[in-house]
Amino acid sequence: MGSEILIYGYGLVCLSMLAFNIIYSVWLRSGPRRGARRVDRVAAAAGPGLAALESGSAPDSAHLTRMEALLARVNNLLAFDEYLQSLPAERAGAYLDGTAPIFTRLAGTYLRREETQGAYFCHFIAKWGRYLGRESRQLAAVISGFTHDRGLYSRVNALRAICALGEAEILMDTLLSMNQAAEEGIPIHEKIAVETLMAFNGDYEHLISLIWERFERFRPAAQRMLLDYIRFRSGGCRDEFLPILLDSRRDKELRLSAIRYFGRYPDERARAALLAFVSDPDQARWEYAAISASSLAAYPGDDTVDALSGAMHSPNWYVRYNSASSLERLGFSYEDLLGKAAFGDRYAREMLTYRLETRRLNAEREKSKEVVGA
Amino acid sequence: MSARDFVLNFLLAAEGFFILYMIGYASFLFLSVTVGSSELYAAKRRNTLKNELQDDYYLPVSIIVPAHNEGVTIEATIRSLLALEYNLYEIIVVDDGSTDDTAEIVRREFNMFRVDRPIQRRIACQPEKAIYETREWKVPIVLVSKQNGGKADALNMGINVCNYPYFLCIDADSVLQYDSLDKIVRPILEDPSTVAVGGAVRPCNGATIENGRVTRYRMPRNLLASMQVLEYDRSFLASRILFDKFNGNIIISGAFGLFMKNLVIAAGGYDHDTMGEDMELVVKLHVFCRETGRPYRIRYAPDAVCWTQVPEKLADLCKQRRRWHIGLFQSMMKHRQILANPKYGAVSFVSYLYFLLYELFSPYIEVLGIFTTLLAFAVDLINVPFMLLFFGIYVVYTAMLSLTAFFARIHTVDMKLYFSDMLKAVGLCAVEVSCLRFIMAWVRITALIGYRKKKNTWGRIERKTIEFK
Repeated sequence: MGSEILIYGYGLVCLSMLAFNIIYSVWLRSGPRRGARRVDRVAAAAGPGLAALESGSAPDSAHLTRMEALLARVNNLLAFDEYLQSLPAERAGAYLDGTAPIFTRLAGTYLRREETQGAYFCHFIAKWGRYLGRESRQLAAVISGFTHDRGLYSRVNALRAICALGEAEILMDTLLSMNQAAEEGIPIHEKIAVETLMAFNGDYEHLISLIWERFERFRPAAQRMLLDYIRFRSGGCRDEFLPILLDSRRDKELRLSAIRYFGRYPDERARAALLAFVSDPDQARWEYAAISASSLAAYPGDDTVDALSGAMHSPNWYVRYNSASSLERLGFSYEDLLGKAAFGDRYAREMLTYRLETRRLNAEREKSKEVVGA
Repeated sequence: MSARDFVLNFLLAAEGFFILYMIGYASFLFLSVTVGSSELYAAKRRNTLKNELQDDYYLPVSIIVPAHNEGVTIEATIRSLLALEYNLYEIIVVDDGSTDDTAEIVRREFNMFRVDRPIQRRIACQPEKAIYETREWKVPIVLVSKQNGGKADALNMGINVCNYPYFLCIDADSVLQYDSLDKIVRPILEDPSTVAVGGAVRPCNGATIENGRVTRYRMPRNLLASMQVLEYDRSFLASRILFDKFNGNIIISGAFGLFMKNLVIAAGGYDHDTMGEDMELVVKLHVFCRETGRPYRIRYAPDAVCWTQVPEKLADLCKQRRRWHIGLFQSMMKHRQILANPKYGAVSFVSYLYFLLYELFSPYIEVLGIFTTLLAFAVDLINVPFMLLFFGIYVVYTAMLSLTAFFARIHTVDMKLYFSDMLKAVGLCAVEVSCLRFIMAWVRITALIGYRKKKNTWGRIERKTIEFK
């Protein structure tokens, strides 16, 4: 009897699976129709508000209440997004500007909802936030709540939304709270953070000044991310980067970031340090040498050529490779260097030969582009 | 004790064992398919609600294509790699002493020049014969022509040559979907402790792929290939999603896997002595990270898709599965310290145990089952109607789970499925479970006979030109 019960149990599982597959297939097929109906419903609801705005008056409170109730459902918010996309940008912008206060209230509503819905709300704000300027401060303050104790997508979408709203102060507070979360084991990948910051829609000079103000409150990984952001965004921070470059007690990654910065934005005050790094025979510090070798391409001069020629004999592959590349960028002929820098050193000769061939390959590529262009 | 008593006792013990074994298998299958399917449906909902990384965050990736006598498919494979919608990658083709025109085709079709490229040899591998490069395409392509040393050796050479911190290994007969690289790096961006990511490998027999996009999807005409489509969804897709839930995946298919280069080098690279170098590497990474106390994740990305040709001839399929079984045996033997070792947590008590009982030992257990049935029949202790009912429910149950996994995949990638294909899937899933599975069991039983002679050889199955437009 026991074994028969088992068999019937499995039979029941089979029937449930069958029913699920059939029902889901049918539901899936009706999906586009349901979506289109929802867009029509949202468009009909938004119509009077849009008409009022176009006639020069503000939407009445009944309209705002109705829209708030409607958009509190995430499927309607999806449909609203689709509807806005179908409008010319200025009409969509005018409607959002005219109804901006409801989005601050909706932020509070979605903050209490399950995480995926909250993350979608943040995505919506990130997409349309540029039209919600008059509510940006209040809205950004509520949205920063989506970065606490939440999953990655919620945090990233919230960060994107705050960047879209262009609120530097709130963004800095949010970054500090995310820094705290990272210390507790909930990190965010530096690449994502930097790319998101790059989309900051406000006064980035002000943001950078705030970063320097609060820089020491971040852990080293976050500091590195902030330095990367500044490197991509501004060449006006040489004075702030120089002490990091010169301070041997600083975290290695920060100093490497400073070396990269001075490669991108040359400053004579950094030359001596870069030359010292590239000439350092200590193999444990090869990363400093390798990155300095790249950065020195921006520092023409006999001392640079001598240092890079010397680095061509480094036992480290990357130091040799970067030195060869920089010498090339400084306009030196590999043929000359093969006789001079690589004399008697098989590794240096090999690397220079390879760089020479790489240049030939790049030239071939340019040639074939020209042929296609012609 | 009389002989009859002995037989009766044996049958009683066998009955208890098989009931437990079958309940274990049925429960695992149910769990993996429900968890796998739910995850696919949940991921679809998450994507609709933009719970995904939306900007282009490019991690630099080197794609390594080990090739041995792949003249038929290598050009299409490289062209598919050039069609990837990703900006920061390079392609490294390692020709492992091919005796056909593999290297010649690559050189000619991609206009490559010989270079004296210095190689930083951080993992031992056979020496190179020549290196060719080109910069004429969207991304740099490098061809390393080396002495024959086996697939693991070719991959190690690729690791030595590649420039970027992550490398992706693919088979030379595979085609990556246009967004696969973007999708496979996402788990690393989501969790920086991720050291390896496996992608979903799907049979491309029957699919039309244009610029890395599937424009038409049909079940393969070939019945054997169709059955493998169902098997891939049930056994690989669903179970890997389940294992992913507790960081327990111990296999990343050699056809499509992304790895952190420095960690692989520190762990010693691919093992030359193992036929299943892909599984061995993943098990080794588990061991290495746990032994060194490094926090790590090994992830599975079901939305990162690689299309591969599955064998259409039974003989080729047998060869492939024999190879897989030998690889499984070698990897599990080599890292047997994982078994029942609390240091390895769920990897030991769930993943390793599952592969041991339901993959490595299963063909032997299945033969024991047949032997027991015959013995019970001989001593007249079998209830034939019940046995048939049991077999019937086993076939229907497994087939239904196969179909659920199959439809979950189809529904969640918005593929249009023809009605005839649906019927084909329904019909073939029962055949796969009731016939093909037993043939494969026999293949796996005999796989270990004389396997030592096959060390360092490439598995060969008949290739067809991939229709990459």
